[in-house]
Amino acid sequence: MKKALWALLAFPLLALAPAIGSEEPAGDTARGKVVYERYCLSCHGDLGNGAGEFAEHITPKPRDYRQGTFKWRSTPSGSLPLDADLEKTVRDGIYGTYMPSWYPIGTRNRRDVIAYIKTFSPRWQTEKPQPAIVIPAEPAYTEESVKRGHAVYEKSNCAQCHGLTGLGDGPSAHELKDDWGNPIVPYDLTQGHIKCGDTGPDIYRVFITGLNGTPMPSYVDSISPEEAWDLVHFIQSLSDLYPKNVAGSASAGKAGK
Amino acid sequence: MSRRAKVVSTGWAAVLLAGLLSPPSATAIPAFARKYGLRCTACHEAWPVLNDFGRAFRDNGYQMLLGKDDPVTTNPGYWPVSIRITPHYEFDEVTNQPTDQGTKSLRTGSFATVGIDLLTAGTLFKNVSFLVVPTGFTSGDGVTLESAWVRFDNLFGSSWLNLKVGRHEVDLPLSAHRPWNLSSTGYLIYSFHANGSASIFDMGENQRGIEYMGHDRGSLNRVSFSVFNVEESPGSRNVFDTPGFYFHATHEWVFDSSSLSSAKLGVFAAYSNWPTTSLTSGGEPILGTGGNLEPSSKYGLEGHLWFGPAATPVHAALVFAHGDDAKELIPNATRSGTFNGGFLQLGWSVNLKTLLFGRYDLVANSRQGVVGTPTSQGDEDAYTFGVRRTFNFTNRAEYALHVEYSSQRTKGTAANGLDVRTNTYFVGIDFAY
Repeated sequence: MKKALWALLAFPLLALAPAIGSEEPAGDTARGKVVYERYCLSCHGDLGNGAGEFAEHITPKPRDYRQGTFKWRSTPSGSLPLDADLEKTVRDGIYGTYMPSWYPIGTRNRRDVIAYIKTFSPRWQTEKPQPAIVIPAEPAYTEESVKRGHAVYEKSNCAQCHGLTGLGDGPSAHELKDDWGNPIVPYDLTQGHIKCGDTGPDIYRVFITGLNGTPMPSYVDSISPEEAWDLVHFIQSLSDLYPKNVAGSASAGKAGK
Repeated sequence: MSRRAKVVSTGWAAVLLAGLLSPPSATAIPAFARKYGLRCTACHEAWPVLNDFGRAFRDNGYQMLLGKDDPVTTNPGYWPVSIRITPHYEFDEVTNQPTDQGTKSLRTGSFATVGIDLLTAGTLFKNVSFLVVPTGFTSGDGVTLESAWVRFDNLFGSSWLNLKVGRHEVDLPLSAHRPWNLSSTGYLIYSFHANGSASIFDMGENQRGIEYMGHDRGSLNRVSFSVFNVEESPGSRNVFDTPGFYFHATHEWVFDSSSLSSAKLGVFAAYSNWPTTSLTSGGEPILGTGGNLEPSSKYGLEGHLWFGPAATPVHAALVFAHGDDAKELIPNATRSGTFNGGFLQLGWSVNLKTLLFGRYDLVANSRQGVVGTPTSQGDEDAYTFGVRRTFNFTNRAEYALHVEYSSQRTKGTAANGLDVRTNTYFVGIDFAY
């Protein structure tokens, strides 16, 4: 009995061991394959084609990894995502979809499965992700910025898909398809949650990077950074649930951080 | 052999056999797999033992918390009901049993009369979860409501405020309702009492009461506290019938390492009461009129290590506890009875379909309540090992071949102070859908 007690008391020391030893920073595709089979396969399929056994029952459809096309990125439209972008998606999940937060499985598992996911597309062999876009400091959320943002919303024809009030009920709402031919509906912006995050930088990033694989384009060439922030504030005004930065940010940050 | 010794020994055998013929019901719930599209492996280290993701999901009130939990967001065809059943062959041998033909070993083997676990669980509304588990459904035993609780999750928006009301399993170091073994052998420390104690409070049995539980993101830090009426008590006539209390807290480290993926330490304590007197009618005790409640307590430590890749780990768990039963609970005792014990459990997920598992239990009386009683009388030990081979699993169902051997010994309770040993051989198909 005393031995058992001592063994228990020694646990904290054992727990410190990995912190002392050397670590592998890179993801391991062999381990990642097992992680993928344990957690991901039922939706994304054993070929990474988004055709797992559950896929036909859900909308939006699980990501088809074979094209190397990802919605949630900090990189410019058309670019591969950074590992940090994939980590954010896997760690936090995607609100309103069947992609859960895999935070509990730990950093190592996520890094390994991301390495494995990258084996599904040859793009990862021939291309490098472009650098993350720079997100300028957020100005204060004010009534004026919301009004200006409403004007940007109208100018950019957002209502064509998202509707005049952001409900996702615009004239084109029922005609849209993603790059794989699956019907896709514009997001209801009044829910108070955006799939890729609710903070100002999260929403700003979507305007600039677009959502590759969907009809949501990048507006990097058609609106200025100031207009993009105003548009962020207009979107945030559609629900009390959005966090609002009434003080503004002191310095610029990068998406995906 | 005295008549009392025969009765005691036969009683032991009956209890052991009854337990062995009834595999522990367990809450592995394919309805969640259907609801969220995940395979069993997403939540279970090896079904039915939960992994980190499964524990966090449970602690969140069976919710992913991404807007798809409320029943109205689910396909109307979804129904939160699952069934688990384990048809199996079992051979049991109990040694040193008194018979008219002398002390014998009793052996029996049969395809067991298996029951059904009807597992219904999920969310009633956002942040209101439930679990109702009727089990049995056999012609002999009928139906038992094993679990029936509702839980109010994330009160005031905090994961540290969750309240569960109803018949529930207290937050054990390792769930007695989610064991890898199916022979009902083991986790002896949960039910053990000092030799001769009248109390049969079992931490592993579900209790009727209320549980506070709190946790952080990913459930790396967890704390729970239960207040309940001690199950199986004949009842007491105070305001709160036969009160019991249970506390558990754990901290888990998750490492960025391929050799040791995580470790967990925890403490737990149970304090229960048991009536020692009762009002009578015609000399017979009247149920629910117990008095003179006397306490028994148990407190201990737990440690877990997950070696190797987290997706196919070797999980080692060590639980150790000290217990004490008041002398009033032990006939003819002049002092309280104390004991120490626990178990070491190992489970190796060789791959996603194959699990090797084993456990060694040991509980020893450290002080007998009745002076002069042999120190080791009533001590218990057990070992169990087996293999589970899953044939197939999807997000709808899973079925596995389960092969197990276990042996449990109770010291000095048979005739002439001999030990009683129970050996169990178990082969079956365990499936859930």
